[in-house]
Amino acid sequence: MESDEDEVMQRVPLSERPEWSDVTPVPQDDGPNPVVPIDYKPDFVETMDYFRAIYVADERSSRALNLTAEAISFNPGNYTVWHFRRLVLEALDIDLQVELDFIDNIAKNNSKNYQIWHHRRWVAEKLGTDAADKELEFTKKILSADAKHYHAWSHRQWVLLALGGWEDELDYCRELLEEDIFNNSAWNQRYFVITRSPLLGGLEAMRESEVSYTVEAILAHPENESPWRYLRGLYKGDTQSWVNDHQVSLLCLRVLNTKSNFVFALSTLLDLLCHGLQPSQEAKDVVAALEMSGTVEPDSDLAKSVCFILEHVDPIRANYWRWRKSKLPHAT
Amino acid sequence: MLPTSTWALRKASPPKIRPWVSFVASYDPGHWVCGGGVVHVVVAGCGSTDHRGTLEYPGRTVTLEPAEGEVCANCSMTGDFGNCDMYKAKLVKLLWVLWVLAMRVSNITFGRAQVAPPPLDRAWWKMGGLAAEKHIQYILTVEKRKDDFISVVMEHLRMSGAYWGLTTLDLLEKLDTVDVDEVVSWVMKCQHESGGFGGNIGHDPHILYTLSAVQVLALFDKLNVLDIDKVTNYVAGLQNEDGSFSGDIWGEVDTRFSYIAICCLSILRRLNKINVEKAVSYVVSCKNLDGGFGCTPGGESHAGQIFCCVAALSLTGSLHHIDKDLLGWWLCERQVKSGGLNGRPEKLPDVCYSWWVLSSLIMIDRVHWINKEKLVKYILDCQDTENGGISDRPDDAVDVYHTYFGVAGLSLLEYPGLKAIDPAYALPVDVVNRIVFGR
Repeated sequence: MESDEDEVMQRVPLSERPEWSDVTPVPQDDGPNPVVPIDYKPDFVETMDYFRAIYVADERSSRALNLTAEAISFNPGNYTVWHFRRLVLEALDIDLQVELDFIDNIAKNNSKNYQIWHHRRWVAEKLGTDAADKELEFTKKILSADAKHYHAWSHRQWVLLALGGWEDELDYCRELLEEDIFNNSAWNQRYFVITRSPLLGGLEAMRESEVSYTVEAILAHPENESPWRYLRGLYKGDTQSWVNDHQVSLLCLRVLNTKSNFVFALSTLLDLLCHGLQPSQEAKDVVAALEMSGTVEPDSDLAKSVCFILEHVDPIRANYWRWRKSKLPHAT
Repeated sequence: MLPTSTWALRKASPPKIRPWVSFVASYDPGHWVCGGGVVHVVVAGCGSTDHRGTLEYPGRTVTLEPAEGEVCANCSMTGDFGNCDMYKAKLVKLLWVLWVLAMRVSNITFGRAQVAPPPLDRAWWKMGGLAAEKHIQYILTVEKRKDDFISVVMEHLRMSGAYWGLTTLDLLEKLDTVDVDEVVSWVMKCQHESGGFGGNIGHDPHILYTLSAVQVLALFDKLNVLDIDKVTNYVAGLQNEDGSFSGDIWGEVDTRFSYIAICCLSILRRLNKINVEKAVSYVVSCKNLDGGFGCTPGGESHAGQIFCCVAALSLTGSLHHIDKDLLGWWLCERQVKSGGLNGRPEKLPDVCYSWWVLSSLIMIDRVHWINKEKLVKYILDCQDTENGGISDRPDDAVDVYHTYFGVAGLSLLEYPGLKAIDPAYALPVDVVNRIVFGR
């Protein structure tokens, strides 16, 4: 934001620029006695006064285009200015590739702004499938600075669906997860790709390889919420396969055996038990071992024991785990 | 009519059955609590803040699950009786007894009561935990600061700023410090001929600011100045073929806009102007594997989007589309060690999620799964106790947006001295009662 202000400091007032001499500025109307008067900076006020003038006159000219750029540099959130800019762009039939560069520039400091992304999509839509690569590249650049950038991900998903470019997307997700395995956005994108990419054959076709990938990720960081949820998502609509897949229960046991960072492993085991998993002797032993190491009273009902332990190791959510316990069918 | 504002369910341990009623002063001077000692009966469907309906979709009853080994021994209703005399108080008590009697005689049981954690520690209030006066001053002066970058970026969303500031004032019971006519005439100047409102005078209409304008008018009981058909036609006109909503004529689609449209039309009682079924099915199509919702189908779950989707489903009587237990767990996983809430896994906590996460949890009846005391403490830690205002995280700069979400979050947590806020309409409960139920 600082750089914007420097620029503003050196600017020549519009009232002193010859090309604007024929325009009478239109001041902001806050009413006679504004309730919430805002004291704006004079440069901003002047720019907006001139903008109002051309907006009211509906002047779709190249100086109008330049003025919207100035107004946007003051406040990229002003959607009215963006709207008007689109009308001018349409009227002047400007090369939209240049417009993409303009957005690149504005986005450098203001990438969390809804208007920029909406404008970007409007331009990309006009450019069509040719824009796909450039748009994927653009979002990649934003994501390299902030890998969980919600707008960038949203735009990227739109590009894939509307313009294509799925070829390298799974690889891209892998790259991001290598950088940060805790990146929930990248896990979400991975799910988006395996369920929606026209090139991959859908969830069931991908399940085997994805389960192995996810199991590895979990073993590296069992405290990571995202892959646990991803793993469950891989069995969407097929709970029986999830319960019966030994890889899942084995994963839980492997994590539980380490006796650290096991909350998600334990809660997954609880879910499996609630869905009818018959616990192995090993499962009973490993849970008993956790009970021994804590101050938790042993219970003959395995699911109940699991709830007790969770209540103990995750006290901030104790009410949740107590509720889970109350929902268990009574042990026979 | 009994003055209702919030429900408080109190735990008695060991469980005691007090057959009739108790009448005790509440935590707050000037307020009284009528306590009903009816075990296992929730007096529901009578204005629970989290189960409000609309005229089209009447209020749903409370269905709260019991925690093991606990019973609800005391459902109480707090109301603002002002400095009422004992005569009036006794009358209220009598009405309460009759009401409870009627409930018992007709054997209406709406389900067993969830025992909420013990009421928030009174000590917080006594210590003056919430710097209410400072926040009021902050709100009243915030827009007058000169040469402030914020004042420039706020210009186009002044309508939302007005909604945040004025709602905060109302929750702090200080809305009367504002000149109603001036606000209303400014709001109306922001209306566009299409019926929609802009973020400020002369700005293009957008659904975001249309809801803010309607909410501000609702706060002041001034909805009558609106040409309801004109506004609602604008909103309804933004619905797309697939049931989703655009934000304005430029066609950006987002589940935020679905909520905004539905909330706006609910306040104005014109939900029948849109295809509710399609609107609901679009929202449901944005549901993710973790039970949460994103901005478009496949978009990552985000607490802000979840609020929008849950509230949209709540206002249309469609909460059955939600896997409440799965979503509730995801939402309560958002609480981090400091007590604050984040909006996505592995993100930093932020006061605004006290609203987005908390209101969602309340709408799906799972708010008791988080640690409320710790969250209250986190919000209070984010106050600027010297100059007023609340920030996103402790020691950051304050702003109106976070001040609103902090105070609204505390209101949802039943913090003493604050008006109750409705989790779906995002307006004080008394305002919702007035506009939706005509009380």
